[in-house]
Amino acid sequence: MFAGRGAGAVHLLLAHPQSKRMVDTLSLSYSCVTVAAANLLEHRLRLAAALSGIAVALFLLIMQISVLDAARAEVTLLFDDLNFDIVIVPDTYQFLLSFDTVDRIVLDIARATGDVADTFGLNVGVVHWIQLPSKQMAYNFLIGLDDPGTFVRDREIRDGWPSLTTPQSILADRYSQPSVGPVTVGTNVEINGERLTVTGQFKLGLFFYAEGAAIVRNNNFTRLDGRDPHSISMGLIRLNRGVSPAKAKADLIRALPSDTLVFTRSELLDSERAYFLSTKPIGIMIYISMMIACLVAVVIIVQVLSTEVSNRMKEYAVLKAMGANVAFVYGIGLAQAAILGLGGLLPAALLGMLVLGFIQHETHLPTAVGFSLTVQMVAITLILAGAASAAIVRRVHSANPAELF
Amino acid sequence: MRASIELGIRHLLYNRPRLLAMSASVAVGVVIVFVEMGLLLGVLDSQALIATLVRGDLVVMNIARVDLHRWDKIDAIRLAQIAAIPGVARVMPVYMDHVNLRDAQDKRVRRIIVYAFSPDDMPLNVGDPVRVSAALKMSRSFMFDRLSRPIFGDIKPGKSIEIDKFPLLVSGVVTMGVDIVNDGNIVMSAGDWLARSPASKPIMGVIRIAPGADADKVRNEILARLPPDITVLTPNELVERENVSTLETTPIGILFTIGMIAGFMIGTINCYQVLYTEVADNLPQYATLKAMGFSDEFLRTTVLAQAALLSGTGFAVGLTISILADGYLAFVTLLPIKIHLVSASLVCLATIALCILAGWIAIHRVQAADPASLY
Repeated sequence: MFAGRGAGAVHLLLAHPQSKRMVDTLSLSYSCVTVAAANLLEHRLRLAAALSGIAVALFLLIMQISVLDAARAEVTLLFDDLNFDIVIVPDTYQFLLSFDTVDRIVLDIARATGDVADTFGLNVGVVHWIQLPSKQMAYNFLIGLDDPGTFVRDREIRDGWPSLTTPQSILADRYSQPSVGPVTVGTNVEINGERLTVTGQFKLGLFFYAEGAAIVRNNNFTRLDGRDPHSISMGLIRLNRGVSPAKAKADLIRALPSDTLVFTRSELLDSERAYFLSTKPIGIMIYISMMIACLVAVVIIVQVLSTEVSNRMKEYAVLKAMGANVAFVYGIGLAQAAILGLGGLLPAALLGMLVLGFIQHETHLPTAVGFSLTVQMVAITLILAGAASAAIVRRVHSANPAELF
Repeated sequence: MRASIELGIRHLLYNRPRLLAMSASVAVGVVIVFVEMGLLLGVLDSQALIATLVRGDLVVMNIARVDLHRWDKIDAIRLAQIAAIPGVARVMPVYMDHVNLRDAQDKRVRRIIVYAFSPDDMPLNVGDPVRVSAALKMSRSFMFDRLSRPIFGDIKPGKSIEIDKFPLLVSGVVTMGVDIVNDGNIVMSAGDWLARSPASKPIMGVIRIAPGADADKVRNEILARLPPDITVLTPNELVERENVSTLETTPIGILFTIGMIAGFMIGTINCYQVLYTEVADNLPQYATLKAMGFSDEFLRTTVLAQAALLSGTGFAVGLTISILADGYLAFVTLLPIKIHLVSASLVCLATIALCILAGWIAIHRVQAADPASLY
């Protein structure tokens, strides 16, 4: 009985003019795709050449998008590990690696505003990291932290912190470049004429600033870097619940000396990204390479489609003379473009996964192909295929049955 | 032969808008090549910039300064030692450091590179020597590089700008340029600079050799007599060394070379495509010619002549667009991106060769033209 009612419902549904139109559209799209595939498969060699060309272009595009995303993530890596709402920096601050400092007293001033729940001093600098016993020198990014409390999110840093028991103990970045030498627990190194021992490890990979990274307590940082013990590179602030960053920022600016700057977390992250990707020409150079890769893909699809159109003009005319819908003829072109695009994307994505996975494995940059990149690439490919078919649609339209005879 | 060439050319010239469209498809490849090449050469030229500004025969630097973005300095005594060597006419120190420049408007302080040298006989070519020398002789002043990135605020001659917290007069502008690492430059006289930081050591020394002396001999003499903590290069060698170092330490070489190859590929495919379509569209006409007794050779030359004409027009259109595109890129990146004459000639030759190759492939199409299939 249910079956009968179900069948009846389907029947009713099909009888409805709108669903009939939908079914028609579906079957039309299906025929478009089968005809398109058959057309393309007629010249296997040409198809292979076109697909490999498109694959190369899309592979380049995947690489560029991924590198840009990785660069964007890389420049805020350290801040992502730190839990803060507002930051106080010297007015010379341009990006993380700035050598000027503020006096620790800014943290006390901040607490006096009443907006602030907790404060944290962060020191950064680049030091000569001399491996022992080889005496090989590398540039290392030295980070000084106050007691992590609730400021440091990273598990490994929090776990390693208690091992910093003596002034000569240090945590080393497992993602440091090989030129830094071994960074395992127990390794001895020399910084500023002092012998230190690695007592723990963490994972960051801050390649924009130095070859490797290491963490010490702030009171040891100032000694190792030859800095005034009261100075910090930046003061991190966490606000009381319910205080808006904008209000706190205004209060802090009023209270703090004029040679300091106050940023909210999002302002700081935006300015870090802007410095590397807009002020420096890195962003624009990647964008231009992306545009060129897109252009190459479109041009190849246009070439294949336009060859198809010139070869099959008569066949299209016959279809039209037989009464085929113009939409059907256009649909074939669109389907061919989509098949070419997605057919090129598949090998490009596979190769991209391999190469980017390898890069991530080697450099620990977050380059691996993920879900969002895959969705992005499918969308871009379909847009490019659509653009390519739009470019030659006029020629299909000109297929005139009368010319046949 | 002449008739077939003329036929090919006239055939293309017959429909001018169509010729323009065909040229545009070839030009796409040309533009890609010029843009990628412009970016590559722009980055290389900017990284090696300071070496191209040297006004002298030899440059001496710390041997550890393996590229121009390292900060290893030399002992001033080395310059005095070199000056004592026969054949050396003059040794001029160049100082280089970071200073903080405060923007008078937004009060922000940004790092800028300072170069300092004597205004009397300048080691670097940063503008009209007479004018620069006169401006540098003003004490408590500096000159601003007009090609610096526009992040430092409004800096004009006559204004007072804070450098490392001390106000200095802007005495004029110089023309240098920025690169990927550095955002801007200022120039001061060595006297002013040493008064501020007396312990400064030179980053390099520019050597002029005596008239009639041989640069290579002088260099060998310097290297033989001085301790091995220095390196001596001619400005050209320094440029080459910097280019090699940039290509070795960054992926830009591979990145932009792949881009250029893609451009050449696109240009060739496009040229083949337009010629192929052209032949396909006129197949009845070609078949008629063949039926009338014209040889395959004649038809081949006709298509090749079209390919040659197309390479010329395509290159011309591409070059025009590329000049605009590279000008725009130079404007937004502030890198010295331009079309070099030598590289443009090479691209031109490659365009002609690849278009002829594309024509050669399209010829197969003509040869397949069978008079019998016409009817």
